[in-house]
Amino acid sequence: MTNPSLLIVRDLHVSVEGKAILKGVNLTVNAGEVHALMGPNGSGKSTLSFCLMGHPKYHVTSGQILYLGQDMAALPPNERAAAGIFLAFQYPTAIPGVTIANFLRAALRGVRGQDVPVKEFRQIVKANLNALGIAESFMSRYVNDGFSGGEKKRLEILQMAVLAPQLAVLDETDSGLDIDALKTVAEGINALRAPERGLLLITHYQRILNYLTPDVVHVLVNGRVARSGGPELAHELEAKGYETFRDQETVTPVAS
Amino acid sequence: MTETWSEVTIDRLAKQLREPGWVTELRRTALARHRELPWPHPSDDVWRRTDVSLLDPSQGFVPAEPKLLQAVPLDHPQVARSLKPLDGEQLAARLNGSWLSPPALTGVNVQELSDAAKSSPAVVRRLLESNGLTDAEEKFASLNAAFHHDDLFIQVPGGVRVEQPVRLLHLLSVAPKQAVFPMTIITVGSGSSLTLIDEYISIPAGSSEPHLVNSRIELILESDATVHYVRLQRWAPTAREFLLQRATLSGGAHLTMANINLGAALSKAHIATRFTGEHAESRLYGFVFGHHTQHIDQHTLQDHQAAHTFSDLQVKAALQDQSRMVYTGLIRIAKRAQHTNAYQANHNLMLSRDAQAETIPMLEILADDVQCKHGASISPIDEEQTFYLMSRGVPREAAERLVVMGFVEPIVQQIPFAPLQEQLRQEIEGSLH
Repeated sequence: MTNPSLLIVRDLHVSVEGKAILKGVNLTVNAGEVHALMGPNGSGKSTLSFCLMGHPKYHVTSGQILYLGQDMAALPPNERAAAGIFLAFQYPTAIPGVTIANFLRAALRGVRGQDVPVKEFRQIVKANLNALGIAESFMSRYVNDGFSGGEKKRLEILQMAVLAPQLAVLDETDSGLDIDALKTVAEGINALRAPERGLLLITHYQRILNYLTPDVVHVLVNGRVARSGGPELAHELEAKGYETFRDQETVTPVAS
Repeated sequence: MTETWSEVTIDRLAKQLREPGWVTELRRTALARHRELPWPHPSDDVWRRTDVSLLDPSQGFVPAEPKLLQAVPLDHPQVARSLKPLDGEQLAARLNGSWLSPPALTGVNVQELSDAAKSSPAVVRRLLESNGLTDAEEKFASLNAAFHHDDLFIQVPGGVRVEQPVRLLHLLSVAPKQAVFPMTIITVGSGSSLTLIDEYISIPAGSSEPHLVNSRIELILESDATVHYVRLQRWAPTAREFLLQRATLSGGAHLTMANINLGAALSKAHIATRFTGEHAESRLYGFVFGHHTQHIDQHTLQDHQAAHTFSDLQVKAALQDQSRMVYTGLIRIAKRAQHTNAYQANHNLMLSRDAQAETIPMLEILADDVQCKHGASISPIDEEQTFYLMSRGVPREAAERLVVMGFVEPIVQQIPFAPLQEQLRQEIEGSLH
């Protein structure tokens, strides 16, 4: 193997407050690929995303997360971010009193490991605001404080664009958006596609896949990847729903 | 009371300050009052969480008459910083009760109290005699009334808009076990406006012995006056403070007040706003930055005596090390004060496991057509906020720092003077660990 895969999730078991949520997830994302991870509510999609980012509440009981060949287990979230992982949250946290400008500056400093000159920071921000059609006044608002659903998602995409991660995980970034906001978000994601980058798109609906064609689609049911396939799998899900996968899952013996 | 805290000291002060005889008489009356009043009863909710004997000057403290005060080292870093005028402000600085240079303020008359007592005796007399205190408050306030010095009378006549913010800097250099009694009276005339930054700094002369500060601040807003008042408390870490700070609002007056509490080992502050005229409004903001073994006890009173009045109050404390915050807040709405809106909030952010906070809201509402709300919280830094910031590459320590600064920011925003906002942000952030 010349290049290690961007992300390898190997037999990952995760529990939250003592309850097992992921029960052996296997997933590989290579550079240049877009993967869609679909699944019904409660299947463990968000758990996987929090786990990739290193949320302290999610305990890996066994298995591995390898990013560029390196085991992430011991790394705190900020070091995973500095390594190039980004998670766009489904429900981003509000941080009252902290402006987006200060926040982005601190984030860029953290990811780069050194201070970013004011002038360069302004240029980066301005270019990305323009590309996403966001007004400059946005920068002086407090992070997610009193934001509408659409504004929160836009801020996630802005952060992703500014930080330019190598692996982006987007957790239901498409949910709760009207069609215009959805297009903006999809464009933001498309703009990030590059041969050296990988994207893992977590979604409940097939809707956003009209704007973003995935290379691989995975179906997560009851804490396991029940099936993987090409883009056609998303259409099959749209037509038949998750019921067929649920049935398959119930006949599979589950080790407890 | 010992010999030290007797009429002998009053007479010596009177002589030094060359004040009219009636002012000295008021001092004597206050001392007599202090002697007859009991110490606060241990069952009193507003007092029992602080050992008030630590604020008793007769426990080995000596009066710091102006001539006994040490010279302030003007190159002391905090002094040097505060002596530098900020862009756009008018600065008047005092050193141990005298002007560092004669004040030249546009739109504002500033006099020492002994002079004001001669030029406007009726006004000053009324102010000095005003009461409305509880016995427990008066037990301490009467000491200031008896021994006050470094006292100022600041007046904006009616119909004057003071455009430039005024910063009044009080520098006190104190020897160990000295007690000082500053008094600042501010009256703003009908329809006038003023932004005043009232800054207090004490520099102890190299000792870990405590010094005592018993302060009184009175703000009087005549009808339709608009005042932004900022108090910067930067007492030395060995200071013990009792503060009585009162604002009285006539009809249509608007007050925005920010109390920034950064220093002292022990502080017991009573901050009251009294609404005597209709349509008066006040917005009170407080920030306490607790560190080391500081003990901060704040009591606020929103005293609505007139109808159609409005008050909003928000006291926030960020507590690190083994600091302790006690907050008791009373909203009082008189029967005649119908259609009043009053709000009170106290939020405590615990930055260390060893810090402590207590918060006690009190309501006394006699009117039946009012809106009144209070809220309080005591909580550590939110883990979800920290995680969110860390997920963007911000290391834990920097993430927590951002959250704390975000917590403080709404209070800093209330300071109507950007250069001071920036200075405070840097100062607070620099003291976080």
